[in-house]
Amino acid sequence: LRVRALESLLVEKGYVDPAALDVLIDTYETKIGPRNGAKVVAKAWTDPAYAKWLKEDATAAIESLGFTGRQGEHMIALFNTPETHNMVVCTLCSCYPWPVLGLPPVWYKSMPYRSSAVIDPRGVLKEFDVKLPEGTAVQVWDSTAEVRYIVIPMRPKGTEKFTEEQLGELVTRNSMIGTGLAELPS
Amino acid sequence: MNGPQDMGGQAGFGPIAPEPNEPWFHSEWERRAFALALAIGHDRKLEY
Repeated sequence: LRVRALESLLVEKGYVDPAALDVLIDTYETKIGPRNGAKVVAKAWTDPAYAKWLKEDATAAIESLGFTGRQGEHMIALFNTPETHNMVVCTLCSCYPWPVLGLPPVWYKSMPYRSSAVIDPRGVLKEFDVKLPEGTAVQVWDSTAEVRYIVIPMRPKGTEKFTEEQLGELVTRNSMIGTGLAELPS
Repeated sequence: MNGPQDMGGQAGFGPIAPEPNEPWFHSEWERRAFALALAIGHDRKLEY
């Protein structure tokens, strides 16, 4: 009810257009989401030149696919390797790369995740059913006021003949936060 | 700059319990409030 009161007041005073609100909602519900990030990852898997660009200047490389804007102004891509698994958190609040992943899930913003990601990352991964090989180190990245991270998971084995679109299907939201891995081809 | 918002490393908050297939918004008011916050941020009439 408070939100409704606020909305009618702001509309009445001419600060917001109700139709604009609908457009904003539609944009964040249907156009912006982890499918965007999956396209970035699939392209990085199939195009070495793009992967190199993404490593050097993730903001520009991601923008070239049309994913830009709020909460994605300064992007860094973290490439998982057999030696290092990357995981992203925002211990201070809920910083998250909206243009490539959409709005953050509740658990990402929650106190349990924010507090334990940096002190017990392996315990956190266990909660997400992620099993890493023995020798893999976990590197946790804490988002700042400006910088947003996207994890580039490792390309699953057995996908050598996959097209970019097929590869994109294997990229889950959590695999780009680091609380998951890319799915194995079925 | 420590404060209650700086949660890194604190203990005792329990399990993370991620929700499977979580919706973008859980209730209608969240949807409207989010859009209002974004829209207001773009309004040039309000200068701050």
